[in-house]
Formats: sequence, C-alpha cells, structure tokens
Amino acid sequence: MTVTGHSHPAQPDEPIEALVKVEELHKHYPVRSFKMFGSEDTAIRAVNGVSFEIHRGETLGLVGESGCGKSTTGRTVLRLEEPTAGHVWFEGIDLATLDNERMRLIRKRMQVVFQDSADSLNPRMSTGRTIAEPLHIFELGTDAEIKAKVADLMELVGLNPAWAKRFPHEFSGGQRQRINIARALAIDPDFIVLDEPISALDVSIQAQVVNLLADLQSRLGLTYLFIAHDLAMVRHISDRIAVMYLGRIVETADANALFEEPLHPYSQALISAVPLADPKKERTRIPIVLEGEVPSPGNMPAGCVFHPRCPQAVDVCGQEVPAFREFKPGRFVACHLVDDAGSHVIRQGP
Amino acid sequence: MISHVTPQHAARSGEVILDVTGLKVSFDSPDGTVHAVNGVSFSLRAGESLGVVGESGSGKSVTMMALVALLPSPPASVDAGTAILTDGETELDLLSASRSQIRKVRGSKVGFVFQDPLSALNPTMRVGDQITESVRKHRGVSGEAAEQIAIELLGAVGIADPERRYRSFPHEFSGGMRQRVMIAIAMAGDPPIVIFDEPTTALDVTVQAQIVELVKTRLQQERGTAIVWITHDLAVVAGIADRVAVMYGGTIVESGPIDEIYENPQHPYTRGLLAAIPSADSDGTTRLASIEGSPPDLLVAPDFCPFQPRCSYAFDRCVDERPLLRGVAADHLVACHYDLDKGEPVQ
Amino acid sequence: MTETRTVEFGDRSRGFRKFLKLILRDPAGLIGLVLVLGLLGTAVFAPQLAPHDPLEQSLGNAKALPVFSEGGSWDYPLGTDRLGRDVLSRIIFGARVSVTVGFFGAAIAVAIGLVIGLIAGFVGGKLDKALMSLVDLVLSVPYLIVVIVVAAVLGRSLFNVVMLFGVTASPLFARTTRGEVLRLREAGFVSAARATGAKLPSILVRHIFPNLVGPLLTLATFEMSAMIFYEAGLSFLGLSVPPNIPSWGNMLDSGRRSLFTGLPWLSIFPGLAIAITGLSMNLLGDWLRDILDPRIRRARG
Repeated sequence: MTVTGHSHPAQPDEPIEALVKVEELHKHYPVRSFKMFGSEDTAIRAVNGVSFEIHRGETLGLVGESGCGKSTTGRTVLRLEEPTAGHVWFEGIDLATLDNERMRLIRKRMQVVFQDSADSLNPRMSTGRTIAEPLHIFELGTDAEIKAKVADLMELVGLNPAWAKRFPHEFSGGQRQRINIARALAIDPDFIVLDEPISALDVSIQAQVVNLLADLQSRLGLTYLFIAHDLAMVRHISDRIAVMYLGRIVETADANALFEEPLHPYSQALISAVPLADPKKERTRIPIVLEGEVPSPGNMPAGCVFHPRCPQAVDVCGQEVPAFREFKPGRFVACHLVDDAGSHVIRQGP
Repeated sequence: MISHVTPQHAARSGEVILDVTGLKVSFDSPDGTVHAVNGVSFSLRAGESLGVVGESGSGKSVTMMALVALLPSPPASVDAGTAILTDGETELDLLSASRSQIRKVRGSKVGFVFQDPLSALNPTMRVGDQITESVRKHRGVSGEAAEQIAIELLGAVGIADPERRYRSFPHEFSGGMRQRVMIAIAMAGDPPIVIFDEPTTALDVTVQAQIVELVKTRLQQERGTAIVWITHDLAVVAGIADRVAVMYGGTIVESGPIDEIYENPQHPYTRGLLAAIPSADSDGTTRLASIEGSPPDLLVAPDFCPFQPRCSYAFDRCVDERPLLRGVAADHLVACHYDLDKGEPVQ
Repeated sequence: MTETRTVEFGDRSRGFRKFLKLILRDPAGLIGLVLVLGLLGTAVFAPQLAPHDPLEQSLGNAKALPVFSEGGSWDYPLGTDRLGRDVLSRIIFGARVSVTVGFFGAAIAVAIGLVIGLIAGFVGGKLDKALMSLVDLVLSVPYLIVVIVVAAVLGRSLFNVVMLFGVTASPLFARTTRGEVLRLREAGFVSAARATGAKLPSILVRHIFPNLVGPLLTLATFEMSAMIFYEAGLSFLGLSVPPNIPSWGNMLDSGRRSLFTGLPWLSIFPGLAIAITGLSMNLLGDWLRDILDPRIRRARG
C-alpha cells in the first residue's frame, strides 16, 4: 500500500474552475468598550471584505504585516472561525449553507498546517497517533491499515517511521513541521491552508520544508493558500500573490508581475522594504519608508484604508473606498491612483 | 544636531577596540554539558559594523552576552578566552573584569539592544524616565538637563512629538517604537560599541526597514559607533554590515568582508545558506538548495567539524580533527578542511 | 505495491517505566512519593499495623514514656497518654482521618471544579460569567465560620468536613480548569483537530483531558496537604471529628495540656505526623509539576 493522492490536476481542455472562491468575506470581533457613561459597542474588523479565487493545483500567497488579518482569513475560509458575512465556495459548494455534519465531511478535503510552535502538536500524543488521528476520525481503515498508512505518510514527508512512538518534544522544529504536514495529508485533502508554516524555522530548514511542500504539491495535485510575511519565500512558492492591509486585499497579481511592477502604493512600499541577500544590490536599494503606524482595525480610516500612510494619497483617497477592480487579466488593485490602463497616474520610486 | 546627542568617539576609525580570542562558554544541563560557544575569536574595529549570522543554537547571542556578563551563571560558565576592550589608553579584559568594572562597561562602553523590547523595558515606568535614567548614569548630568537630553534622544530615534511621548508607558508604544526607545537608551550612554541581538526579528518588514535606516544614520554615520548586528537573516546583514562572521555549532566557520562572503563563500555552510534564499528568478518550479539534516547536538564535545554530519564535502579528516580558521583572501577566514575552489582537501 | 508495513505508536505501559526512571532520578520526589504511599498504607492497614486498640484505656500504664526515654518500653513505643491509650496506635488510626479528608476532599474539589471549569471554558459568554461569579462567591465565604455553624447545627462529623473542604476548594480547580481550557481550545493542535473534523467529545478525550491531568494533579497534591493541615486545626478546635475518633488534631489538643508537665511527647508525635505528611505531599507536588510538563521533562532529562 502506498500513499497516492487523488490525481485530478486541471486537464488542459477543462475550463479552469476555482477550487476555492472567497467573496466579500468579513470577520468582525465585537468589542465593548466601557465609557464613563454607558458602553460603546465597536468591532475589530479583522477581515473586512476579502475576495479571491484559488485554482486547482495552484498556490496563492497571502502576504501582509502582522495584524492585517491574513491568518484570520485562512481560519475563516476553513470555517474554524465563523464568518461575520460573505461566502466561501469550495468546488462550487457554499460552505455557509452546510450543516455541521456535512461541514465535517467536507473537512476531509481541506486541511491546515500552522506555524510550528510549542502548541501545534499535542504534547501528550505520540507522533504516530497524531498522524493517525484524522484517519481515526473518519474511520478510514482497520488499525493495521491505519498504521501502514502512517508509515507511508511519515516516509512521504521525510520522517523515519520508527519515530512514530516519539513525542513532539523529541523533535526539532523542522521535523515537527513535517509531522504537521503528514497529519494534514493523512486524509488526502485537495486544499491546504499553510498558515506561516516556515516562519519559526531556521533558514536552512525553511528551504527543506518549502521544497517538501512543492514536491507534495506536484505529486499529489494539491492546492495551497500560503500565508506568510516572508516575501522572498512567498514569491518563490506562489503562483499568484494577494497583498493584505488592514483587513482588505489591496492587490492580487501573478507572483513575478507583483514584484516587478507593484501597482498599489502599499505593495510598492512592502516590496521595497524587503532586504536583498546581495550586498551590492542592497546598497542601491531605496526603501519607500512609510510614515506612522498601522491604524487599529477597531478604528478604520475613512476612504482607502491605506490613505493616512500613503505617500501618494490625494483628496479622493480619504473620501471614497477604492473599488477592487481587475485592470489586467488576473490583476486586481484597489487604488484610486491606478488608471484604466492599469498603470499608475503618479508613479513613484527609483 | 545638538552636541549632547552627537559627541565624537575617542578611538580613530579602523583601530581595534574589541578583540576576542578563544572564547568558550558552556551551560550545565541535566542532559550534560552544553558546549554553546567553542573557541570564538574575532575583533571589532572602531566605527565598523560586524554582522554575526547564525541559526538558533549557533552560539551567536551567547557569545555577545558573555562579553558583558549577561549570562546567568550558573548554568552558564565562561571556560576560556579573553576579550580586550580598548578605550583610548586603557585596556580591559571583559572576561576577567570584576562585576563593578563590567557594570561600568555596560551602557557606557558597550550598549545592548535586544530582540524583545517589551521585556527589556520596565512596564511600570514612563519611557522617558527610562531614557533619563540611562542619561544620568552615563553622562553625569541630572535633573532638567538629563530630561532634556532624553527628549532630544527620543526625537533623534524618530519618535514624533517627543515631549508628549516622553510621558508614555511602554505598552502604549508599538513594537517598532519600543525598539526605537531601546536604541535611544543605548545611545544615552554614547557607547563606542552597540550590540544588536536580532533587533528586527519580531518586527514587520516595513518597520524593520525604518529601524535599519535609523541605526545607519543615527549611530553609524552621525556618531561612528561600532555595531555588532546578530541575526539569522542574511539579507538584513547585507544592508548593514561591513564584515560578516558566520557561526555554526558554537564556532565561527567563516568571516570576511561583506562582498567577499556573499560573492565568494568558502565554507559549505555559508554556501548552503546563501543558496537556500530564494532569488528573484526562482519560482515554484525550481527547487531551493537546502541543507539536509538537523542542527548539531551541542552535548557532544566538539573535537570535529560541527557541520560535518550535514556536509556533502565531508571526508574522514572532518570527523577526526576540528578545522581551524585559515586565511583564503585578505581578511577572509574560513574553518574548513576542504578547498571549495580547488575541489580538493586542503593540504 | 510494497509489503505491508506497520509502525509502533508508542504503548502506554512505557509511561509507567518512564515514571519509575524519572522518580528514581529525583531524591526529593522519591522521598515524597514513598512517604505519601506510606501514609496511604498506614491508613488502609491501620488495624493490622497498630499494636493496640487506639481507644483501649489502661490506666495502669498511663503516661508511659516513649521507648527511647529512660523507663520506656517496646510495649508502648511512643508511650501512652494520661488515659493509658497507646500513642503510636492513635497516630496510626489518626492517619485514617487525615487521609480521608485529604483524598476525598480533593476528589470532590476536582470533580466539582472540573465540571464547572469545562462548562465555563467551553460555553463561555454569559454562562461563563455567571459560573465565575459563583466561584468568586464561594471563595469569599469565610470557611471557619461555616464550619462552626455546620458543627453546631449538624453535629461534628468527618463527612461534613470532607464535603465542606471539597466545596470550598473547588473554585481553585474550576479556575485552573477554565484557564487551561481557554488556552487549549486556542492551541494549534485543537484547531488542527477541528479542521480535521473531530467532534467535541473526541477533542475533549484526546486533546483536552490529557493536558489537564498535569496541572490538576499537581494542584490536588498541594490542596491535599492544605486540607490535612486545616483538618488538624479544626480537630484541635474540636470542630471536626467526634472526640472518640483519634485524629492528629485532637491528639494535639489533648497533649497540649501536658506539654509543660513532663509529657511533651503527647504533642510532639502527632505534630511530627502532620509536618511530615505536609512536607511529603509538597515534595511530591513539586516533582509532579516538573515532570508532568513534557517541555520541562525534556529539560530535566
């Protein structure tokens, strides 16, 4: 018995259908702030109207700085958090319409890998049991079959099956992340949300895990939502990238197109801030330094959420929320300063 | 700029102000002795900036903290080495200095900026008062004058409206602003050396860019402060360092001028690290070069090359004998038995 | 097709061997464990261990001295009290009261606290607030006054003391459980289990309970020792067991009168019993706290 993914990568003649489609997704957390007289209900708008599509077999990178709502987006897409508003379609099925039991069944197809940290694995469960848990939940096979499958999974992610009886604290960070990946793969999912899967790992180990993820994707035809803040790594692994700022996606583009010509001023600043591992290029890099701090998601600026810090903002930016428009095929930008031809009215930078 | 904020350092640029040789640090643990730093030697010249690159457990932070006696002892113990701090005419071995001598060194000769400013700042004290305290201690001024300098320093590290923000508490600041406060505190003593221990690791990339810019202009350019920047991120170092030391398993495996290290790395580990960084033209179809295996077990006494179990060039000498640093070019040292350029073991 | 393969998941009996290995390495924990087991054994086998009937009065042998004093004998190793009752036998039987109070009191506290904590932590919202207010209310009741009232109204009984201790200690366990549940339900492995379609009972059994055992067991050990101290205090004040049942507290009380009249042993021995019990439980609790956290366990080997 070997582990084989269901191999249904997109056929060339098949129309490209989005495996995951997210539309106007909102996740707000109510906050009651007590004032001298009475209390005031506000909301932390962690995710504030996010839309994107992920096609079968592709990787969508979701980038942004801490607090921008990228992880909450990932959790809400999986319905680990109930969305406040909006829709998530998985293969054309609106997840919001599913009852608990049908949602539970569809979870077989969607999995998640979290940032490796002390709490991503149950400290009291052996590796074998951890990887076997999804198989037990869905009662996929006899004990012997499950054990054989666990052995295959461990080999698939580059772990020695003899380590199945070891506990999480006996592994290094990179090995723990392989256990997380094996658990996610146990029930042959189609779609995996990778929530900062390499952020806690050492540089030399990050490359191992990224290579593993890429190999698994091509072998098993997986679709990824890759959430991270390391832009260089996101560019490497993603086919397309969505840039988030303060609960909204400000730009979506092909990975290389985004880095070569970012259209949104925030994308421009973010990309220009990434240091380059080449001293000569690094000396000539001129970062666009943003003024001020990211506002609190409980107190959103009017108009474009980025306008208070935008070096190019004009009057309209503080008044109207820019539409999230498709300027070129696959290129969505929410900015007043981008004209219909998809280029900047005012270009800035070197 | 006001003279209080930008005094000139005594040492001339290029003079060695810190010379560390043969530093060994170990920790007692229930599993045995952890050999955290195994014979580290490096020097720091006035006004230069040294990047110390390594992964977790490489000994990069332990090395620096040992110099100013910031390691808890026990379990830590400095087993060997000297660290000569030169300040004008006086020389002091930091590793054999008394507690009171070290206390005088901290802040006024060697400043420290940590990764987590929230735990390094006193949560119950106004940020301005924490800077003032440092100013009073190191500059011998008091009262109004010290407060005035603290406000100037707050402004110098890019905090808007410093008179008002002087009265804020650490929790009212964002991570980036707290790190600016830490830099202001380090500047208060105007030390000729400031050690940055992963100062931007917890920060977002745009904030990191601000902090790097701040350190370059305020410390390096305006004051000529020598900087040690500890990080795991080769890209950050590329922008800030003149020289780089790459650490692995408690030793420096390679050191040299920044361009030389990035263009002509001579240690398999350095090569591996640089290759593991995705470049602009790599995409999902190309594989990243990765270094297989796991970080070394520091419980084993290091009488072999620490990188040897993960090294594709390793041969029997790497197991038998620990490689020492050898020169390969001007100021470029590498600790490896294999000559990567010639493709054969070093004779 | 490869041949059928299998893996070992790590059997649970390994846990016991590991436990043995760990306790043998830590002298303080080992001493604590041995003494606590000794206490349990003493309580269970009191009739077999005691040389005399603890209630038997033998006025002819009253005020006998312990064996190591001049004039003492092995008939009464720790001497006798002023009514001629064997002190050793009374201490052995007194362990029954202490053990009953400690173990059952803690068990009741854990049971109540666990249920309240789980509900509060999982359901949250208004119910959580209501339950936590109730817990605060219980905490604010001065238990000594309640004991006096209960003793006055219902009479002195061990059952009342156990129940009262169980209820008054339960808030600690409720809070600990709730805190751990709040932490665990946000933990990555619980999210991952939910993402895999695990149902609540399975999450509780596989992920929540195993991680509650450590903190609750540790707390229970410390609470047991506290309850044994409190019970001794209540017995001393005559508010616990009826006087015909020997307990360390009421032995202290009756010995107190002889403390300065040549019979200090009557107070010292029960006092020692209380002190050793408290010490051993605290040693055990400290050790449990350390080893039950897998991360610390690794650090300690």
